[in-house]
Amino acid sequence: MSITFTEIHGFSDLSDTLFDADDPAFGDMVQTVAENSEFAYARLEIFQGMYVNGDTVPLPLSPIDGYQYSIDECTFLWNPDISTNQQTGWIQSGSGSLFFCEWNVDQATGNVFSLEWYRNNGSGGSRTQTNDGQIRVYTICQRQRRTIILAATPTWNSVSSGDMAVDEPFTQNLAQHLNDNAKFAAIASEVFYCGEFYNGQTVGLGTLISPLDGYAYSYAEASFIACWRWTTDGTQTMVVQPPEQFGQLGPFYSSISPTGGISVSVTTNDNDGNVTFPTNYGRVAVFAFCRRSGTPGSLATSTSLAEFALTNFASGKTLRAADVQQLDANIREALLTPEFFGPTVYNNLDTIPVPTSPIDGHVYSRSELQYIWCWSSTSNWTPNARLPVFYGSINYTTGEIFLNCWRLGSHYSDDHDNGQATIIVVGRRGMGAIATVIGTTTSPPSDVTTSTLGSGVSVSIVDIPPTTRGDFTLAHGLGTTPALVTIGPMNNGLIRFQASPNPPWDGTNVYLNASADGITGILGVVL
Amino acid sequence: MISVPANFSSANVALLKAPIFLITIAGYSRVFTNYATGVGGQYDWLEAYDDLQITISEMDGGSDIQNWSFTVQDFQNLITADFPSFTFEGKSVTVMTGLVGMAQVDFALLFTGVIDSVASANENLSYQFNCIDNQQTLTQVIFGVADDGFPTDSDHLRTLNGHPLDILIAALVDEAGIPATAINQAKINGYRDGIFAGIQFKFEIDSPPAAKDFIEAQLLKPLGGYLWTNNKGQIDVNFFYKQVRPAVFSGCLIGAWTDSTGQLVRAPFAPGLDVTLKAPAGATQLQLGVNDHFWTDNSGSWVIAVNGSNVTVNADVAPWTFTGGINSAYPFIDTSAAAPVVVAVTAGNLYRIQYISGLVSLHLGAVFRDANGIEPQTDPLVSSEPGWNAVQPFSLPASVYSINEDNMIVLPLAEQADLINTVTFRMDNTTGGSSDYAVETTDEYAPSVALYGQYGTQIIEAAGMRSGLQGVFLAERISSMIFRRYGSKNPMFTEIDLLWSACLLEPGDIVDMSSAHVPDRIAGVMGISGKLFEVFDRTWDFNDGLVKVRLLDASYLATAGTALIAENSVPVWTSATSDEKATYMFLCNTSDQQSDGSPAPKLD
Repeated sequence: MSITFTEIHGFSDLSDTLFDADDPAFGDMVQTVAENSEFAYARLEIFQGMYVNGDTVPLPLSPIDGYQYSIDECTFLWNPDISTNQQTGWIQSGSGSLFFCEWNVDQATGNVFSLEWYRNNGSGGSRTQTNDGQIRVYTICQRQRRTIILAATPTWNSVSSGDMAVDEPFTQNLAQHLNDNAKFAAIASEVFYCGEFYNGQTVGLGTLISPLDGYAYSYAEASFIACWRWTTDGTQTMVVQPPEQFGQLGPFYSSISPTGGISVSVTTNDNDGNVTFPTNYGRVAVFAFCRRSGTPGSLATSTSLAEFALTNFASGKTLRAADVQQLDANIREALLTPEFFGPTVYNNLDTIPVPTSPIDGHVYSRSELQYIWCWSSTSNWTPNARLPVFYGSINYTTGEIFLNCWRLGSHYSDDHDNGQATIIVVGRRGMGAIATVIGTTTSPPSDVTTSTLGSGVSVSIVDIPPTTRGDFTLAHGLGTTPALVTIGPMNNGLIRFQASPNPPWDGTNVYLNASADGITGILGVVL
Repeated sequence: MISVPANFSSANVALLKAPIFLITIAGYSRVFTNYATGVGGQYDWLEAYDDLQITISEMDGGSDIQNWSFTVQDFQNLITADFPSFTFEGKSVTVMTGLVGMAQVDFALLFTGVIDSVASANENLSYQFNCIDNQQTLTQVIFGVADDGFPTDSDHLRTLNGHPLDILIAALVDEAGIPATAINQAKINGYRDGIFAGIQFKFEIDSPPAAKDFIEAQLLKPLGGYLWTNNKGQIDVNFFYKQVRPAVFSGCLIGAWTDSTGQLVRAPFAPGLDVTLKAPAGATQLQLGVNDHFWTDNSGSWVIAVNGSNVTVNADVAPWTFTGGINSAYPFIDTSAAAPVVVAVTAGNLYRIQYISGLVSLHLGAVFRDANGIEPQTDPLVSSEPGWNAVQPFSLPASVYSINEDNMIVLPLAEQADLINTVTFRMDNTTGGSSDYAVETTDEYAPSVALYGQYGTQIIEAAGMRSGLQGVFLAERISSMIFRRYGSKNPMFTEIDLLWSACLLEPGDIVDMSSAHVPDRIAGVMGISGKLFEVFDRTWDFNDGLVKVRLLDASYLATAGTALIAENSVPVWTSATSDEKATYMFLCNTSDQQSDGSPAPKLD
């Protein structure tokens, strides 16, 4: 069952001195700790959607508590899932193969940018500028990302369950440890945009300093992933068109070592069919998913978070052992939400395994997972051939990966899908079925030999008419049970899946819930 | 309550007395009085004075001291003769009061303001001095420079991110240019570090506001507080919450619980002017000294009472000089400090540490100050001082004055406060000047609605409150405090006329009232005893020697829990002593009981 809150819970840096022995046991102070734990659970959320050039990524509304994120709280990570034109599902007729590409999401505005040039064969082959490409944007939301002020870096302290039993004194140690732990849980995981890099550079540790308390992460605490910025000269500050002799674009590759070393390469096929590796071609934007090493190595199972009422610890009330135990449980679950797994490089048709928390042994369900993926290889042939089209997706129901990297030889072929995806799996306990969208399927024109087509995905788009607040069903009209249903961009509110059935669709309907009247949107229904 | 020397307090107890008033204008050679004091430079030319009234708008974050005037006879045209050589307008003016027979050093300071104008009166035989409150300086516009150095507007925002009470001081000192000495920083910081610890506001200002408007509406109203001017002319604050944690400054008194070898058994603390604490386990001594790092050039002394026994703390003593053992955890630079004053204590007993008199200077006779360390100049705490490691105790609310039929002039008419049982907060504002708030919370006091079937609403738009910074919880806290005062048509008195003995009462003071002729509607009987009220409006009627106050029910203060956070050595309930059970907080079962069926202690 997905966790939702009735209130928006925030953060407060409460000094341990408020919990000194012989100070009054203020209910407001205990409630502040509870608020911090609930804030910690919701603080880092990840949303995703498919966009095209010119789109602006909307500011998310939290499905947990309705919190409206501001642009300052968002970091945009992207991947060109599909290189083709969204309307036609293919490259522009007669444009040959890809020449060079540039993708970006402006961190300050959320504006999506996709520039894909095509080029025909031969010396002086015609060139076509397009805004093809369907970009998956992950909006990584971190509440009060730069606003929180911490007087000191909190640390985690072990709390004994025996100290939280009936008749136990509410000691300085217990109170201060709960206070510290709740604050630590709120800041233990952070995601950083590290900047743009080209081959041979290193992501410096200076990019991994928390704006909250100045904590300096080590490489061992970071998981890196790279988004492609452009495929031409990476040393330039803006994209520069390749020279004529480089011909057309071939596969491109990227990886980041655990110590931030950037490895990027781009292949091209010149007019004589020779494969070249232009020096320093390719530029990537790097993001780091970090967890502080102060996180304990083991904890009791932490999956029983429950929201406290704002008045649970109000002045004049008693301090129930059950509430203190629940507070401790909330802190632990918040600490482990989210958990990052990877990065791991996967091949086409691999299945991403369901992870198990190394800290409390929680085995995640598929509905609790999000997959942050970026192309680490668009390999299509050995040796590298021209790359006219590439696309990929992940089946959220099964974790199966589909990577299709076409080649242009004598004709367009999809027969050697050697592409690879770097994936960071994000586990969020208590998360309902993920509201994700995938792009429209590729649609090769009829003159492309169908026998060479690889496996793709077929998506039907179903409009969601203006809603009435509350639960509702929507017929998808496919006559069979979909493999996956995703909720697309929506207007005027939030549409989410009902908690049950699981999955929230069957052979006829999709089971949805609207936060308000009059919301519209779309469903992506995958066969 | 206005602080006064002990001699004033003792003399003030008498019901029959004749007040003397001294009006002093800064830089002016003549002091005006209503009594022939026989002191050189003091002239009993006072003819008349208006009532001096402060009106509190506690629900709007502000207050108003009405313009006040006094009239002085121009004896032999001597004041007229002073005009060419002295400009009265803009000068600070103070009013002090004492009693006949009292040394003037023991007089109480009642009012500090500014002379606004001087008018002729009584067919030009007198002068009427018109005085205004120091808050008039707060009409100026603040935060006029944006983050990027441009004038603040919608394209150039001024961002403020911090504790609202730090923002308050910044607005007063850095923006309005008010000297630090003209602000009651001790109290403001006490709230910041006390019941409001950890609160954070963030503003994005797109239009420079007037200081007074911003402070009242955006900083104090959302915290359930208000701005006022105290008797020293300082910008001051009061809140519905009463628990404060006094701040530590250079030059303040520092206390330390130690064992017999002088090793601290608990972090040191600054007692302020009056605090009662329990000696912790292991303590056999209370050591007292001055917070400084260079003692040899200090001068003066304080008289401090510990459970009523006076000790003298000379300016050259440190709170501890032993540097071995655990004291290495509390380092400071000890430059020839004298040994501390030592008072024997017994662990577990309560000790009241009370500043009585005296002033201390930190440097060659300059800047003398009381035990708070903040008079007349605030010096920031530095790491080389013993107070750097201080952990401050909480000061809890208590009645400062008992109102009864001996000091009331007439029986007061019992009234009901206007009902407020619904409070709406609006927060998550993107710019300071707009009314675009992303989050709105509404708290309703259900028992009140059920009881009366009526609604009274308070709406608070707080541009700095953020839901992501516990704004929703803060809204609930403040709403709860409002309901305790206004949610039950609480008892109030618009005006109670008291004898001059009550002249030291200030807005925000807690008083207790006993009268056989005031109805107790809750109990359904005529007569109340020891019922707590808070002082709001106050008027000094100098002519009739009366003090008129507006009181509002504060009985909720008597219902809060008093349990303390337990020392780590406290055993479980079933093994605890009766004293430990009565003192500390213990975890209980879901029936709000301990395992033996005893009712569990309650949170404060």
